[in-house]
Amino acid sequence: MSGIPRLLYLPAALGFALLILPLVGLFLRADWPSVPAAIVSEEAQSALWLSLQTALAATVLCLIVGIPLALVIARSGNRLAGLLRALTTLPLVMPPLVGGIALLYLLGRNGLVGSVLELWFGISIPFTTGAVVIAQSFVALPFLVISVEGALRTAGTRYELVAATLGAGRWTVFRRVTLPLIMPGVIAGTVLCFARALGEFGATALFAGNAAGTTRTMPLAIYTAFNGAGVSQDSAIALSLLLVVVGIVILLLLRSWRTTPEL
Amino acid sequence: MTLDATMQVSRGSFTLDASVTVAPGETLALLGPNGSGKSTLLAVIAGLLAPERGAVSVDGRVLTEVPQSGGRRPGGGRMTVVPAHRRRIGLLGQDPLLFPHLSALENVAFGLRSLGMRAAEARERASEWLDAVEMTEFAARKPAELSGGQQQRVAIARVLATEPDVLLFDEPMAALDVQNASLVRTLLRECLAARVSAVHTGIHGRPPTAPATIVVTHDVVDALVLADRVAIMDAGRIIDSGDVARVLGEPVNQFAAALVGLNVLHGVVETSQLARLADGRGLAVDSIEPAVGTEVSVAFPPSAVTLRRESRGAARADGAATAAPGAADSARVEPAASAPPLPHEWQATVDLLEPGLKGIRVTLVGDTVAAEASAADLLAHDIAPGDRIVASVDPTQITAYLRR
Repeated sequence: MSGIPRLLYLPAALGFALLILPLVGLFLRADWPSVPAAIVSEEAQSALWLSLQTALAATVLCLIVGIPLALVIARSGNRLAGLLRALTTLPLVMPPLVGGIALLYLLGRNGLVGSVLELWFGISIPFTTGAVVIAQSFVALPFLVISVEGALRTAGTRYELVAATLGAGRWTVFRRVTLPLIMPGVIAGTVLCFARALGEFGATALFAGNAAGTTRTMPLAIYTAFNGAGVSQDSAIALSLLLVVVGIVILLLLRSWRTTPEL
Repeated sequence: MTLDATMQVSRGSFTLDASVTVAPGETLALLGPNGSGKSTLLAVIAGLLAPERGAVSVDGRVLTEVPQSGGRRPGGGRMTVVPAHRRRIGLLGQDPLLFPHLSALENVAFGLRSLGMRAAEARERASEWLDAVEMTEFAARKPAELSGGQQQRVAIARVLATEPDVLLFDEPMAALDVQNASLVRTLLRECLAARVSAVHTGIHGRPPTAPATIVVTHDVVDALVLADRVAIMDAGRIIDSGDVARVLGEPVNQFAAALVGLNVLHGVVETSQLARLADGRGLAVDSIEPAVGTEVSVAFPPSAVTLRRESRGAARADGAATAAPGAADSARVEPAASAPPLPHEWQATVDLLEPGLKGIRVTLVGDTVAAEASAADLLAHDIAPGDRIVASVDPTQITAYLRR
């Protein structure tokens, strides 16, 4: 730890405190005797399962479209790549609420695509579990794309060229060279993506609503509980604790997977 | 498999304009300094780069064809560039580029698997190749656990295992230290000499044929050890090519001479033992084969050039032939202007002393000729930059040949 100006330890400590103290406060404020009951309540269980399922589905969706998108950006010319990257990361700088409104205007009953879906196929997306997955994907995808694209740029194309001269076609190169090379970036991106999807609130609230069992994910359940509709603030805190613990467990699991030598 | 390639590639002010033909089983060394276009030439042959104009074919199989009208303009003639993975052209660069996530064995098996070979057979064959490059004991290691020289050995096995029609080596020894470079060079020589026949059985469903090989290098040792033929490249053009001994021993110009570490001068044969150089200087040669009056080049190693202090030994009015440096020391000290030098001697000023191949390289002001001497010699004769000296060349070490 040599070489850091001592003065810098002060803001570093402040930053750390800013991140950790609220969580500590949460743990201290919790009404521990009532926590187990709040956690095993049907309301909480249903919200937790919905959250895990939708976040998982959103992550899978993000992987399926995000890795190819990152490839296209990484292999594009500088100007096109810059443009694509800026557009891809737009949801990052946009309040999720705005994203929710935008999704509603695209896929809503009177929306650009939504009206067509409704008219031709009788499908209505808003306020369904599918809407939750779409909203989560919308806010989480940029994290995956940025992470994977960075890994692709670091890996470069040299190994891919060598693989081609060894007779490997494009699909083989992608499967056996590119993907293994960027795997650390993919895993890091997946973790961020899943965490973001799990915590998603704003876009979900506007686009998917807050219906218990179908769209009320953990963040929405916490919000509902905190506002005192039916349950007490204590159960909001208990649910928050549950979400924090789930997040930590996932991080630890993926961290241990990531540090195993075999990719 | 005979390789035929001709190409034009422009990159800003740089233009590559070259043609090469390599016969089956033949190794061509492409010699030239950095930036002369050697790697670009390989990239075109390997299919990693489309030329503005050119064609690459192997035994008549067209791999690249960009007609005269240019491939960039739409409709300007049909353009063919067979993708790299369908060319059967192996490429090995100075960086081994072993796939970091695969073991040495899996790296070698990679190309075989890509050709559709079953995993078990590919692995078996890969281990034979690892054996051929003496890397069997490292088969399970990941590239990060191997030294640079070991990695390059595995990379050689990997590229040879795919039994390519054409082998391209782009400075394969450049990133290795002297000892490893020498080991890998010897291995490559063995592999090329054996024409990889030991485990080469025609996996492409046709009888195995000897590959055409190009070794790009800026090290003349690679050419000596590996090549049947040498081509010298400068600024995007091949300025000389032919038999190794001829190209390296009889350089066409100063540039080629510098590459092989020789001095080269041009002139006209005056007598069977004297060449008159372009600048009027005479050069005594032991024996000149080309006829009197013909234009010749003369080449000699820097070590054939003897330097001595002008003030001590230059003015040898008595005309004693071939003044050895030792004799010069005891000679009378006379003003230099009082007597002209012998026909094969000339006066010059020392410019720089720099590290040479075998000793200290001495360059002269306004002269392309360089001399080489041991540090002890230079000290003994008290030669330093700025000194006026008399230079002479040992006539027995000069080769005179028809100018090309």
